[in-house]
Parts: sequence; structure tokens; C-alpha cells
Amino acid sequence: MRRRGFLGVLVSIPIVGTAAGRAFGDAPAAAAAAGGHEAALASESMAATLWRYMDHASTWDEAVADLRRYVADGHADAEMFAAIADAIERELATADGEQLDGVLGFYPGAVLMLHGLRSLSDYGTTEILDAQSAFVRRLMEAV
Amino acid sequence: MATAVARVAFAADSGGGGSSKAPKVAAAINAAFGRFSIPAATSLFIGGDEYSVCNASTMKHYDKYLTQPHINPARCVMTPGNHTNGPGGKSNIPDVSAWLSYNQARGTLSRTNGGWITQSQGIPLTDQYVDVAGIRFIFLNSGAVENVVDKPGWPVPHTGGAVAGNSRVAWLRSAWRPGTRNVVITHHARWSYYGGAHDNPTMQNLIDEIMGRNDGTKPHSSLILQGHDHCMQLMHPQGASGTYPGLVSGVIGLCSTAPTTHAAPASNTSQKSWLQFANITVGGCGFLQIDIMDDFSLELSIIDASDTSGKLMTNTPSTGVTGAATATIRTLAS
Repeated sequence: MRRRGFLGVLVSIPIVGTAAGRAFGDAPAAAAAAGGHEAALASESMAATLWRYMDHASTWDEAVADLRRYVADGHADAEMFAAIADAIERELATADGEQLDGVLGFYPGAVLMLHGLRSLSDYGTTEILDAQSAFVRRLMEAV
Repeated sequence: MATAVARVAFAADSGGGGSSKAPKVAAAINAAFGRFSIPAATSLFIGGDEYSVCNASTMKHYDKYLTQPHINPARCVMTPGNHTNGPGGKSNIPDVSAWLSYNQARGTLSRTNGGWITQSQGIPLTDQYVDVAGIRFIFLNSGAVENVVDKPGWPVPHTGGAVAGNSRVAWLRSAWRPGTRNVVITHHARWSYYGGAHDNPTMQNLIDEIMGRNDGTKPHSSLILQGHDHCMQLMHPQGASGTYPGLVSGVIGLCSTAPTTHAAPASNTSQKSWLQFANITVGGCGFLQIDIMDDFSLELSIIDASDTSGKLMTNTPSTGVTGAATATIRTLAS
């Protein structure tokens, strides 16, 4: 198996008005809390879990912060996602006024694609990684 | 000609960090308040959600708003969203105790002493009202918890669709001002342009309560403001479940987050009833400005926060509504 560095591939791709004082009203306190609720999430796929962490990211900075939390919580492929977060941060450090605004879902989707490419890098051949990277680039141009 | 006597800014999904659009929105709101002729008659209402989830660190995102020279924390009210409610304990589960502590420390008007709707899920009773220039703004916790409870609702917990006998319902019925000089603010929208999963049918009870349908009374409000969906829209609800004459539903959820930009499904009929719709472009952001007039009408303007000039958003032409995003809401005294 021949491997190529992941980063190389990555780089290629109150009260106002007349009122004198406060005039506010509060609802009465609710009844006692309902029974205990187990907050633990049901078993779900890595992608679904990651998406939950990153769903509301609006920028790459926020995406990295969300990714770091995912890693810190010890979810699947934490080591790989830590490397991806490192790579994003390195690239961001070299970004110079580029328009990098996203839309809802863009950042988790992009990170999952990077995860796939990284997996090809780790477990596939250079030929496969290069072919898939080229194909993804063509797809990006096609859409 | 009516004269503005108070100005309110409403921003939901507004608790993003320094790399989000929150600083731009905060600066734009500050400028809007600075332009108003009565500086002490300005109020900021926050419609919830800190990103990624509420904790002591992300609550500080609101410092961007509350340290602005023309924004007074003592005239700020927040209502929780699904990224706010929660018991904490994990990094991806909100810790609402941070919201309570922050509001107490900042001296906002947000209610922090109401106990709990569901303590085990970290959903506090924050329902309250604040009167501004003769208009009653009623804040209701719509309840869901990110990564814990998917469905919002009013009241919470759900009681099989029935609302009679619920203490929150009883309170709301006691809180209405006569007529329609009430504005309801909550996090989750009943309807969205995008339809499907963006709609929240579990909020229908609140709409029916506003319309007076649950207890056979008259409509109590002409305006409900929400967030949760990442767009800007003002609409006359016209959904499959019926029409709601006199009610305007607003979603102002583009105050720090990335926009939702996909098209509405053909099955969604609500987009036929737009007052204004500003889906704006990638990277855009804004807030809703409400000027309360001396005849108790409400002048609504969706302000573009890309700068501090106060320019209006323009509508998305494909919705069939063109021009600047403004609307006037008439209210009734009885």
C-alpha cells in the first residue's frame, strides 16, 4: 500500500414610554419537575453524532471549535478528527481575507468529506486517493 | 401622522461567538438605538440560542450586545431556545444554569426565578411579560433541548394537545392585555417558509391560544416573533391547518448563524402569504426593528446588519414580494 500525506490532498481541495417604573409580570412557578430523564443519546452513527456537534457552525472557526468538542468527548474516530481540526486551523492561519462564509450544514458536510478522504489516505492506495480527489474536484466544478 | 415613542430590536439565534455574525448584529442594533430620538426608550429582546450550546463560556457571547453604549442590559429580555434549555453535564448538552446566572449577573429583565417546567431536562419557567409603550411583550419558553428533547411545545410538557388546566395556560390567559396590544415572543416557530421538518406542529396550541380558539375568546395578538429557522420572514399564516386572519408570524433567526438557503417544497402553501421575506445571501445577517408608534401601531423593519447604516433588507424576488422588508401592524385596544 502506498500512502500520501493527507494535508497535501487537503490543500489541493424594559419599561419605557410613559411608565415610570418596571411593570412586568411573571408566570407562576410550574409544578414539580417531571420524572428523571436520561440525557444519554441513543446509539447513532458517527456521522449523525458529528453533525449534531457541528450543525450550527457558521464559520470555519466555529466548525473547529465544534470539532474539538467532539474530539474531547471521545467519540468515534476522535484521533482522525483531531488531525482534521489541526489541518483546518493551519489552513485558516494562511487564509487572507477570503470569503469563507457558509450555509447551514456546509461545515459538517465538508468535514465528513475530509474524513472520507483521510480514510482513503490511511487505508487505500495513492491511486485511489488521487482518483477520488480528482473526481471530487470535478464534482465541485459540476455543481 | 403617527410618531415613534419606543424602539425594540428583536434578534434570535443570536448567541454566536466572535467569529460569527453576532458582533455585526450587535453593532447594527447599537447604531439603530443610537439613531432613535429617545435613547431611554430602546429595548433589546433576544429570542434564544447560544452556539454551539449554552454554557458559562458561550453566554459571554452576549457581552457583544450588552456592552454596546446604546444597549442597556436593564432593558434587555432573553427567552431560551433549544440550545439554551438543558441540564448540562456533557459538552454537547446545554446548561441552562449558565443562562440563569448570566442574566442575573448582567441585571437583565429576563426572568430567572420561576422554578422549572421540567427540571430533569433543564427547562426553566421563564414565562413573563414586559410592557413597552402600551404594548405587552409576552415571552414563553418553547421548551426543546438540543440533543435531549427534539420537539418543542407550548405548554410543556405536552398534555395530549389539551391546554385546559395547565398552569402556564392559565397564566397566559391572565396576562393578555385587552384587545390585541400583545406581542408573543418564543423560540420555535409554528411555521416556516421551508415547511416539512422546519414547521413545528407542536406549537399549534400556542397559535390557537393567541387566536382565542382554545377558550372561545377573541384574538389576543397580531404578532408572534420567533427564531430557530435561519432566515428572516414575516408572513400571514396560510397553512394546511387553516388561516389565521390578523396574525403576523415572524421568524428572525439569522442573527449570528449561517443561513438556510434551500427552496421551499411545492407542498408548502405558506409562502403564498408573505408580508416580507428576506432570505438574504450567504454571509448575510440582520435583525428586526420594531418602532412602537403613538397610535399603538407597530412599524416593523428587517435591518441589514452587514454594516451600521440601518439599511433595510430587500425581499427575495422568487417569493413574489419585492422591495424593502417593512410592514405595519395595527393593534386594537379592545
